[in-house]
Amino acid sequence: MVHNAGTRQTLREMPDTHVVSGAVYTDKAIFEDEKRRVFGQCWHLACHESELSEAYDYRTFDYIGTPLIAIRGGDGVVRTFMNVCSHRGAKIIQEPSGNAKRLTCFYHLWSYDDRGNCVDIPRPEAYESSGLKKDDCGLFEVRTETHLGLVFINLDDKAPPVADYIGAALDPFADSLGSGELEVFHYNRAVLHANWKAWQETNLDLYHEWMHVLLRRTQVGEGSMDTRVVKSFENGHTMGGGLKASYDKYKGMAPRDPGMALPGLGPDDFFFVDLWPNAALLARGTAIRIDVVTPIDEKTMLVEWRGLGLKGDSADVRRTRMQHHNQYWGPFGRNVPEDAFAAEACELGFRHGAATRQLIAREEGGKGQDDGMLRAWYAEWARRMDRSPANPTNAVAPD
Amino acid sequence: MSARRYQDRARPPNLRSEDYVSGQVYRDDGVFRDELDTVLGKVWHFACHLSEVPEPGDYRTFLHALQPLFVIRGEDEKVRCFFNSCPQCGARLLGDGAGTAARLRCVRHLGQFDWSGRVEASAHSGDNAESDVLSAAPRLREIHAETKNGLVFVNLDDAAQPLDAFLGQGLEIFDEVFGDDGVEYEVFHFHRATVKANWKAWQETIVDLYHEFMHVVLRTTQMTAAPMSARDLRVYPNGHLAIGGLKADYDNYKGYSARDESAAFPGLTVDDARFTPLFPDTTIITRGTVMRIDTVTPLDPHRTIVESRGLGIKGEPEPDRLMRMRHHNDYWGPFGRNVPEDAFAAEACEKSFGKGAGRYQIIARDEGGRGQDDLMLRAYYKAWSEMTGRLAHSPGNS
Repeated sequence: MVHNAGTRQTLREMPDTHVVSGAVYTDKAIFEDEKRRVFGQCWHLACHESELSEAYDYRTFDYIGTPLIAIRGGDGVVRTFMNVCSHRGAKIIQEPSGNAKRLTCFYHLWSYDDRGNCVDIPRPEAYESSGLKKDDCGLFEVRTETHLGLVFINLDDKAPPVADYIGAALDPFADSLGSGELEVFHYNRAVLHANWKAWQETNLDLYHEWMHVLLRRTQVGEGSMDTRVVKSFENGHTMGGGLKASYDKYKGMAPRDPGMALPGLGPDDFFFVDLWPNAALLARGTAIRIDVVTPIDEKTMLVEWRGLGLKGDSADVRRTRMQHHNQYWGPFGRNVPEDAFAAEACELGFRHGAATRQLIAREEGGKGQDDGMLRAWYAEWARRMDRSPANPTNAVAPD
Repeated sequence: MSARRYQDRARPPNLRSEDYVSGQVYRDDGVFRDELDTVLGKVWHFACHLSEVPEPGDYRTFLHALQPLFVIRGEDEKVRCFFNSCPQCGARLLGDGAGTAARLRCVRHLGQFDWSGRVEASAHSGDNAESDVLSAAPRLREIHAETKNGLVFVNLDDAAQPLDAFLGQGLEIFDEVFGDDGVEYEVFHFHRATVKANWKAWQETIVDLYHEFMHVVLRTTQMTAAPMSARDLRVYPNGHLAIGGLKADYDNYKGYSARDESAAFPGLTVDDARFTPLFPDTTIITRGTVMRIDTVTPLDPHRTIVESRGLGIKGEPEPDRLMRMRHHNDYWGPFGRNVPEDAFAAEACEKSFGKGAGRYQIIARDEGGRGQDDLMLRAYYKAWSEMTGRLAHSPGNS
């Protein structure tokens, strides 16, 4: 049946849990609410600790319009500060990463240490009459905690600890990430023209494996749909597990050497965990990928991808591991660019209302290509946003 | 010494209210709209130098308070300013930039206007040239334009005070520079850029003396060339400012050399540096041998056109002109050591204030009106507050 404008508006027999309105991707007020209720309160994966391996190593990043800097202190503790000078508001450090004992603002050379203390103001005597003191000019510190080697930040000082927030969701990564032996060997980022949730959905939606030729060849026919497990955890985290891959089914790829498997993983294992709201960790036997998506506005997002291997890899092993990673997940791999294409294609549908809703209605008893992860994700969104994904603007249904 | 809690970032600094500015002045749409109406719509705005429209029919187009305008020199040598828009149908009359217009013709209906804005007979009006239709057609909408010291200023406010009253003594620091009847200046350099920052962030790079720490070339040539106590910061009515007493040791910077005294402008020695920020959007700066005039034109709260002119002496021999251009470009050219760094600073502030991360900036330096006092920044925001009716430290509260 062809839908006309009338039927497009009344396709509403589905339960609210199985429908997502296009407004969640396009509505500016919803996005403003997300900044406050989601990103202002949830733990955000900032980087892996191997990216700040030495004292005074730093990484800068923007989070919901706020320039931040994570730096490992001389005491080994990773802290995060607003990367904003207390004097005239300039962004202090421009480089994406580096090592500095002093964070010195280029504008008037005000200087801060690894604890965020303001330690130098040039010609400070001119502030005596105003009563301004260095003590009042420290950087603003953002809560930072490390869990399984992952560095998280939270803009909400009252949020529960990150370990409580994650709960059991990262248990499948306990052996690998928990070994302390992993390090980031790949980093890539891109601005995508789509709502941030459209990226996260590519990591929640098992059914879309049909899109990827590579997955159709190496994954869909391997194992059984019945051995797959779709799980949800407290706080909206979800997991897809029990997947297997036969790499030699794809021309040019070869089976993976069991000796290269990461701790706790078999070489043909594939599973992934989505940390609510905006991170995903994917394990493919010999390499781990971490995605973090950060909205820029309601129709633009930044996606960051990291690839992880073992710190002790020989050059040969590292090269092979990078190859494994890049075949699927590199910027020219067979997975990630196709997902970006999909997210932007949905944006084209939803942006001006051509598409008004999407269906997340597949039920396979928590197996196969069940949409359970998507429904769990949107259930948490509904809870935090106090809006129904099916009707987030409380629009009145047409007669 | 300690870091502060992120949650406390909205708390105002524990300072006198005049010693800090709220980040809202850089990002709030309501503030911006008020600025267009109550500040930019009321002040005299520097449009160009007379040397840029030397002959009758020469024009320059520009934007001011988001309005498309142009100045044009008439048959009677008078420079007038009009809206760059056909009074009949609204279409733009002149393309962006500068040129010489034989006539001002609307592309849409081919209506024509002379250089003083009167409706003219066009080829298509034929025998009806003197018809009632033609005589009833509206002339170009003109706004005030006045010239002082070769500087053309315009004002959108029909009830504006005269230019001289607005400027007051604001240009006194250049009295000798402009006062020599035997010396005429001309523009030899023009560049413009769109800076991703609020327009006031650019003006602050001029008004803020303390930021000379940012510029290697100023740390090397300026900060130690004369005592801080010799600097003389002045505040005039209507928010105009000036600083004198700055000196430069040009040969302190590798690749530069001391400047020839004979090249100095009237009333200046070659090592003098003086500048006067005219409220709210213009600055005139001299460095002994060369002059720079900056104008900032906001496009929205987050984007600003910066126009920069370099001036030398009209009719000077080519070697002198080349020398003056080099002196200009060393500091102020698009690849000089000053101007690109200022653009970087303005954009770095936008990165924190633009989306609300940065909440306040501090302008609390007090050096008794000398050295690197923030006196000029405070005076700038005092004038801004008086005109907008908003408090710079809390612009949501009138």
